Amino acid sequence: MRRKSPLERVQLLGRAGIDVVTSLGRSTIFLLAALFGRGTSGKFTQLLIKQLYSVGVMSLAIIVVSGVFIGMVLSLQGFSILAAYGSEQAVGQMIALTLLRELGPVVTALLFAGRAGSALTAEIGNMKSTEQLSSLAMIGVDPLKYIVAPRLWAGFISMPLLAMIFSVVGIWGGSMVAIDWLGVYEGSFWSNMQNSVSFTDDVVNGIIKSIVFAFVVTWIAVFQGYDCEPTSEGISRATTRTVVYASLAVLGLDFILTALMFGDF
Amino acid sequence: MNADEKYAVELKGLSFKRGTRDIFKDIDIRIPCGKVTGIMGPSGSGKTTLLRLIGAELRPDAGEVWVNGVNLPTLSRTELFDMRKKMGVLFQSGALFTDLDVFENVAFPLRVHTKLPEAMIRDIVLMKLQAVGLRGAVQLMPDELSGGMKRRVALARAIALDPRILIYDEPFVGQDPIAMGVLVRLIRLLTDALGITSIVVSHDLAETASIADYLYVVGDTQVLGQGTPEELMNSDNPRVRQFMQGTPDGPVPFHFPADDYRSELLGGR
Repeated sequence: MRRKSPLERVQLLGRAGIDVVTSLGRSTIFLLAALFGRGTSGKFTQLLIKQLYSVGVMSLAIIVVSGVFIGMVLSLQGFSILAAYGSEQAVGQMIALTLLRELGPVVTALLFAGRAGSALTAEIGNMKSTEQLSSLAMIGVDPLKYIVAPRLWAGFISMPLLAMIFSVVGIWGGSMVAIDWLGVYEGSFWSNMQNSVSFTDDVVNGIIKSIVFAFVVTWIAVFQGYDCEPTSEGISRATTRTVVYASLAVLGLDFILTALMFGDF
Repeated sequence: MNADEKYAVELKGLSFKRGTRDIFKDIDIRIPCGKVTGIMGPSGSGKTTLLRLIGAELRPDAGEVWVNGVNLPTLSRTELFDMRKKMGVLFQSGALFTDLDVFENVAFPLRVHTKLPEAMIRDIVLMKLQAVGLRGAVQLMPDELSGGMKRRVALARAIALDPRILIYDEPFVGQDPIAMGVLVRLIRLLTDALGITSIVVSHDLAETASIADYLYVVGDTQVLGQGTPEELMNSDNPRVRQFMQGTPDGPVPFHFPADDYRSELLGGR
């Protein structure tokens, strides 16, 4: 293959930049039209409940199982490190703070992107390739309101709830390992946790993080599905993009939010 | 400029490009009310694009698209969706909603756009399905239907709201002779009985010519010819004649533009 000249490389870089900005603009218009455009369907609540089930309830199993195991692993690791300083009684507060501030929102968002996000992209992409979206539009029903909006709201609502469930079952899994297996005194495990966890600084900040992640992950997932090339390959590429973009966005945003919430500046 | 009331659809000076490639350049098409109009042309001539322009799924680069007296490109998104309630489109694949059974697919437009009681919705759905011969399939899911049956259910759904204009995208592709005959009869019957305007976008010559009152042949970014099927059969235009008579040799090339065949084969050695 012919080597590209420096000018052609600059041109390619410029084109890629324009593509990114165009895509961001399109996705913003898409989001605003879906959330705030005038409705065409009077069955929004019914559609939302259906999506809350498929996006939220169906993700519950993977969230609960992952939460329990991550809590158990945190407990084992925390105990072995803290025992070296004779502070193993503090394992409860370590588990709680780690889950509420970081792992709850972040791991839930990553799991949600893999499980529900990819499913949303594939479902909407498949509707596009089988002309179901066109068909809806020609019946006089706006697909942005009928298909996209309920899925967006379902993601926004369900992910913060899943993150809370993740943290709760994680703490429960950690307490099982610490108290029942490693022999940490139950009273100090729970009282240390109660003393060190602040509702506003830890719990609320964790919820704010998960709301931001919910917004970004669901937005990426539905836009990738709606905007994909309507072929098998196009849907497959869009599904991969959803998981990759959503995961990177969650990790990047987590750093920014952590710096804003917990950074001393 | 306003639209003529004799015509359900009028395309005036319409141009459309995909990237840098012209699909249509300054074409004019007028589709009369209450008739079956066929839009024909070779594969890749932009027939389905034309259908999407009439349904305002695509915006023209220039020109006007008048449907039922309204210039569609000037409408807002909400007005456009309201306007589409008076149009029905039968997609090539049927495009049935895969999570709904046959009954719910046909009932869908009624549930979304009307506040009719359930008993009346049921009666209308059964009447529409009876018209397409699939009342017995009311409880089946789309994946349990054959391709031809899917298209007939989609037709029942398209006529659920009694639209004024019905557009068919390649309705005869992949149909067995019986289903084809049924469809041809149905299109004619629906047009005559309900007084709707039918636009059949197809490259199936014999079937389309047998029901169409008027035909347009499109290709090479232009309207190549128009008239009754008999007029087009005897057209002076060699491109139209080649298409209507289905001859392989003529001004419409069979091959997509490419380098010289011999030199390309030998060039690889």
